[in-house]
Amino acid sequence: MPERIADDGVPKTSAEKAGVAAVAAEIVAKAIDEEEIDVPSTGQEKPTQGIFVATEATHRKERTERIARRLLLFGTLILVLPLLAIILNLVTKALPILSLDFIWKNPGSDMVSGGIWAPLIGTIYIVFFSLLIAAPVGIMAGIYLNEYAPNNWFTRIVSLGVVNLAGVPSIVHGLFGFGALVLFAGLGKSVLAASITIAIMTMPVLITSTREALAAVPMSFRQACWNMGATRWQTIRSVVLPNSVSGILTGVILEVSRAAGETAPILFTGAAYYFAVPDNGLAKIFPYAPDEQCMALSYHLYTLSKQVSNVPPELKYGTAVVLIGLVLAVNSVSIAARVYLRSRKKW
Amino acid sequence: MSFRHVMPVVAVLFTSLLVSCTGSGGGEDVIVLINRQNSSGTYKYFQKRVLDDNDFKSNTKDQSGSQAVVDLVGNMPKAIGYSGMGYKTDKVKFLRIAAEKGSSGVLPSVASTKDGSYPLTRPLQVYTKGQPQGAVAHYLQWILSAEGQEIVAAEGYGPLPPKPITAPPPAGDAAFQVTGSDTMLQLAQAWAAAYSEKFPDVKVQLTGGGSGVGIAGMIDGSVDIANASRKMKSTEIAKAKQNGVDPKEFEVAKDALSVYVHKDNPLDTITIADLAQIYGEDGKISTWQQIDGYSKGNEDPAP
Amino acid sequence: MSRLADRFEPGFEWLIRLSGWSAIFFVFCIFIFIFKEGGPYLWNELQYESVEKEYPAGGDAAAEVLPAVKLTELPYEVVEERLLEDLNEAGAEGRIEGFRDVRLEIGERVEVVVYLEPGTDPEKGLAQILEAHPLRQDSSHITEFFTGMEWKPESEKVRKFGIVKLLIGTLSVTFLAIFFAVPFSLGAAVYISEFCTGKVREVLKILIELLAAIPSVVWGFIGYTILNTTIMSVTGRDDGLNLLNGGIVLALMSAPIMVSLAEDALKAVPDSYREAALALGASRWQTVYKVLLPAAKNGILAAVLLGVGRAIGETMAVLMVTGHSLVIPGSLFDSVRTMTATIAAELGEAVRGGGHYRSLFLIGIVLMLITMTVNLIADLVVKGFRGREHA
Repeated sequence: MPERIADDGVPKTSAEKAGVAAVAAEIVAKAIDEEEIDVPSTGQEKPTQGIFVATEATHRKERTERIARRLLLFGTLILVLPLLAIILNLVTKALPILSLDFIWKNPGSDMVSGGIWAPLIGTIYIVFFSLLIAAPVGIMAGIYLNEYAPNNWFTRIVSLGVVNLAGVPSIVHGLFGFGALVLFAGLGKSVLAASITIAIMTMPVLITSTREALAAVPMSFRQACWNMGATRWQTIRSVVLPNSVSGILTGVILEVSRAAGETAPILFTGAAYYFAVPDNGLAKIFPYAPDEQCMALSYHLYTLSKQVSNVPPELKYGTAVVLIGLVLAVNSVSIAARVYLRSRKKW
Repeated sequence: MSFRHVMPVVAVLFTSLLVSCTGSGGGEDVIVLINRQNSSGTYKYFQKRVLDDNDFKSNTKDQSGSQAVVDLVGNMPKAIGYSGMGYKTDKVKFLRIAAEKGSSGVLPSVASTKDGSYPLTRPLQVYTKGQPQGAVAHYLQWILSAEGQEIVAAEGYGPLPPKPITAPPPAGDAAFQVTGSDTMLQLAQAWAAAYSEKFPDVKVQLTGGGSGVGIAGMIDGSVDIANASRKMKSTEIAKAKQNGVDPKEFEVAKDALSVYVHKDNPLDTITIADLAQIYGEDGKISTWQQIDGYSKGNEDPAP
Repeated sequence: MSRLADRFEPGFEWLIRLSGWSAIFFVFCIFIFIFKEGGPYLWNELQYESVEKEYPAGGDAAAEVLPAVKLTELPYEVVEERLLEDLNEAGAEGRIEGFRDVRLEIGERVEVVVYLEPGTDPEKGLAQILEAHPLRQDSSHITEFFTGMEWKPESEKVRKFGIVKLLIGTLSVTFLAIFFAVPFSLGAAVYISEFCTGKVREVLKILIELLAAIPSVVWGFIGYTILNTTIMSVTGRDDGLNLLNGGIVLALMSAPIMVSLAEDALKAVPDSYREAALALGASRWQTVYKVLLPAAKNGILAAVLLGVGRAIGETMAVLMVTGHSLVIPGSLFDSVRTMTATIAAELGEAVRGGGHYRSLFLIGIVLMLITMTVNLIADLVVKGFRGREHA
């Protein structure tokens, strides 16, 4: 039923109004039956100073409302406060070690000292390469599926496949990457294999968000262009794409943060426990070749927790804080971009 | 389906969960078994040497890393675990291993590993694809040289007598992948770090995962050097040959497979037979009180 | 500029179509590959068949000295080093010279040639060897995969690939997570959508979105360090890596999805419902409870299901936090092992094409099917079951 009413929720036609009224009446009747709403009946002896007199039922109602409100607030806070408490905890424990130096220095030769530069640049490598592959292909595939593909059973199956692939656990992507890329295609454990795996992991979401952004552009825009003789590509290029940029961009940035944080796909396809990155020079900024393994921030956090001995706690917490900071920064950019671009929308 | 219908179900579930929380009763202290994951060479070595190739009990907590085992034991007074000697922390202590009941048992140390008096001494080996060449050859010889073996002792493993380096130092860029044993991870990382400092043009990429991972990589031909804390089986070597890879074995260090307990645990010595009863699938020992020497330790505080 | 873009229009269109087709190709590729790698397990047995004896006429140069008995068609997993050693030690009756044609596929066979001392009756010699040293059996029919209680992929005796305990581990952790998360998520969704105003709502929504962005390895780290010590101190037990820890972490991870989707569902209920209830004197809570929740229940159900999907598929957090133990949990404080954590812990060592490899891929298939089913149900629920739609 919600689909039949116009976007702003106000019933326009008399049929819609009648429908809403019918539903409302039914609900109210049920509520009256269960004595949740108090209806003063005629013939009752009551001081009639007005129609809206506070009765027992009203008091009960207000009390329930207050209790419910408090409970709901409590429930919300239970979700949000642990997050803040945890982040506060992590940051305080990591404070002794957090500094620009921490980010710029490589992990020490015994893994229990030094900074996180090598894993950080490794994560940047993987995110960059995977985005290089996934963004163009994903966005263009989204354009294809929404604007060009015929609306037949095949397209529907493909859409289904894409949506399901978006929900598949990340370890299954790692499984595929390991079996198909590392072993079958012979890429070995490498930055290339890891990037392709992450690209495959982020592509379905990119495709879906592109499609949604494109679908949000009203058909009338396209129709106006067609009426003026524009081709499909001209329409897309001049009207549809510019108006869906916010949605697409949000999707891309969201996936960047996901690519930076995921561990399972790179566990078997390219993450290294240790890789000696030079401490200075150009090779410090470009240390990894596509066919070599690389360190990664998320995997580094895992190994520091489970495989390295006698790690000073602030090192672990510092790594966690940098990783969270990286991801939250990217997400904040996405939120800001979305707000800014939405405010600029002219419709 | 409304709130009224859901609530009783939820209440029942909640109470059953609460009831299930009332944990195990007092009295006997159940041993908490910490194990390694089944890709680990340490796991396999323990299984062969102590359990005689029988299976482990199924309620062990399997940890993916040599350090994780020790960390857990350090937090849990009732736990027992085994791992490489170099992973000891302040919260745990070694158990003396006695070959048979009554003997005083030997503590794991660099010395007792070197002379072999510790019953659970095992060789750590490295496998290469065929006869090592070029950078790999030099790296291997460097590991076996005085410098490499010094690092072995410093990291808490048992060194071998050093050998001289005969291969030429690497010329130009080289990169190779080293994968495998978690036990050797600490050692391999120290090697990789020191080697990269001396020869910055050689890039050593190190990953752990367990000896099984290194050996699987050797069989597939996807790694250059496999660290293994157990030897490759002849079936594995045959599989590798089938794939065109000829693994060559090099022993690089010795390790004492140490049994760790919490530092407050009164137990001091344990026999290999008791270990088998604790960890083995059909083992009869499940509480600390059942072990010889535990109650005695409780009654007579160590002098 | 736009003229330029138009000039290349066929080029762009061709590029777009190519991307579309390659994306489609990737999507199918993944499904097909994973099914192909795990599939053989479904239709090949891992069990070894009975030994047949054959008495070949000639033989190799090495066989000139002794008559040879060929044990035909044994699975390679059966021929293990220990067996070889034992059989070699068997001494008098014969020795195994080695084996040819070691193949890696499940169900494919290897030839083993046994050389016996001259004059030995082949039948008796073979029987004696096999009796003294029974061959290791892999008992792994596909039904055992789904019903077997033992998961021993690297056993030296009998390898078993039963995932019941893993399934129960996944389901128990997921169930606990949903049990914790749903009340709070729904409450938060209702609060944010109905009871909140402007600034507070924006702040809360942003906070929830940031909660959703935290990577799973960080959650695992939080559970492994902070939650671990908290559980240990609050309950007085000495082990904090258990079902409870996993449930709490997964609840915090899947809550944001549930909150935002449920909030979307509540927002989708037209304002006319609210206005109608308000006009009849209902309080805000009554509106929510009696009108909005029933109206949005499809969307809310879908939100919960998608949260379930996220919880089932989570890997790193449960790997680090649940204690990774093959038990059926009897209480909240038992350690469990999930399917995802099993793949993550054991994939590295699986030799390509071997039994362990295939069973891990089969677990991947099971996971994919479970999440696909959950997504499908969520999809159907959102659209509303035909006939259950009210007006």
